[in-house]
Amino acid sequence: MSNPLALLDVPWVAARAVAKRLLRGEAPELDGPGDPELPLFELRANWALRALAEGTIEEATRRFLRALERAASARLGAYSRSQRIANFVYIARRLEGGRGSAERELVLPTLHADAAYLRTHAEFRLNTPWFNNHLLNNYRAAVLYQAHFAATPGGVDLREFIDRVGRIIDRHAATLFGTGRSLLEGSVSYEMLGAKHLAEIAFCDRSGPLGPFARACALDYRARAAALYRKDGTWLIPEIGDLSPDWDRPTILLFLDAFVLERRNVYWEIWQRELAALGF
Amino acid sequence: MSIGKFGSENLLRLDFDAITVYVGIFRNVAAVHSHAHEDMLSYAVYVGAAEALIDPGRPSYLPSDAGFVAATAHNGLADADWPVRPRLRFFSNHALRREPCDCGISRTDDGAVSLWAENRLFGLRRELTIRRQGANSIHAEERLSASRILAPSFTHNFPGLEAEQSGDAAVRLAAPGLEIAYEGARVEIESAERARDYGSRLPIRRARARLPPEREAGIAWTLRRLD
Repeated sequence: MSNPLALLDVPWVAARAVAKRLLRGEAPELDGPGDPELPLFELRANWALRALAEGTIEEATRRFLRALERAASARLGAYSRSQRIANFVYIARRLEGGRGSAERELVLPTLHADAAYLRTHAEFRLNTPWFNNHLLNNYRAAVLYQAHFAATPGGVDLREFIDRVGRIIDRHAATLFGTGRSLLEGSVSYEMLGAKHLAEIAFCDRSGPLGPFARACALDYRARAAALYRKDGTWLIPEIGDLSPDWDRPTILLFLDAFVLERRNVYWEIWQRELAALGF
Repeated sequence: MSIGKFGSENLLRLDFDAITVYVGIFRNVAAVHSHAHEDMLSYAVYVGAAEALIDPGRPSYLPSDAGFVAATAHNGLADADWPVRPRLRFFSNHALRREPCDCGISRTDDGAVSLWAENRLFGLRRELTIRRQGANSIHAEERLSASRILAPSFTHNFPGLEAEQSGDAAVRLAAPGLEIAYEGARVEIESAERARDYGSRLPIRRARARLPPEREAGIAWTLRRLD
């Protein structure tokens, strides 16, 4: 490692312990037992869009129920629960019309529990640098939940959460978005993920404080994305910065094809009413 | 000539006919807990829609993959000791981490694009100038300077395993059919990995050159499409 300070690149409370180990000549601890992001991909149901594109709704729903069983023993945080809510919205919207309503009833108690957890666990703390796309994801999940599940039996009212978190994001918009209108974290994968979050907020945020801003951001990104990332009829997606563990290249293309090029894929079908309302 | 500083963007796209260059220009100092790498003025190059020089990405957030974040893993000329925008996610507090880095762009009448980035804390400056050479070729000049002795390192990451050394100072790629000739340093091919998605690992070839420790370092390369 060329930069020795990077060895101390740990939370401040842990830096002293690392320094002592280094002074004793011990190698710093590296990986723990496996990568936690890989099982989280399954538990967060991040496979939902691809599964809906490649298989049947019934299969996706059964897989979601299996993931819920496994997640019961896992302690999931607000980010994972936010992902799970949003991913089930994709499945639930495909279930509309009565098919699979029994499965939907099985899932609802878990989604209500996720919403109740989210209500008291917004990922924002004052006077810390812990501020990035997570709060935006919390807000997206709350907006999607409020629009789809809050009025169902046992539902949780997240309107106060949406109002409070929306105002925080609005106040810290310069940190999240800079002076532009896309997620500014130095990563193409996260920039596109942020664009999807903003698009879905724009689809469903009818009265929250972030709705108009998200709509402006989403439409702006839609107008710019092809000029920035398309060439010769192909999406160019350089892997600059981190790659989000919450989606893969085929899922990115599902979003970009539907949202930017208006291609009739599964993402377009899920949101076609909202896309039409935005003038697509 | 027009000169300007960038607004808030993660990257910049430059088109030279069939050749497209993406350059990392992220420097949002307020977003401390970002997902950026040490890739200020690093680049990824496409010929048509085919990859020519790639950013290796990062296969996981595990500490053992922290090397993928380093400036020396990214394309271009970098100081191995301290990059223009170091990525220390946790060390020290918010205010201390705000290293004064910035970047800008200028265009010359002959169509060349010059980019600069600097970290004023160390007087470190990185420059990249790219010039069109006909419809199928670009010429790039890179320069690094600082008020102290540098540990300059030059890297080019190629997609897949097809990159082959052609003498001391050139690399050929059968697909998409191109040659890169280097001036100012000898390059050696080594094995490396890339990630296209989180959790994926693919073997690639990488050209590496180590330059002598000085206060200034420079290298030039010409990418030419073979038709």
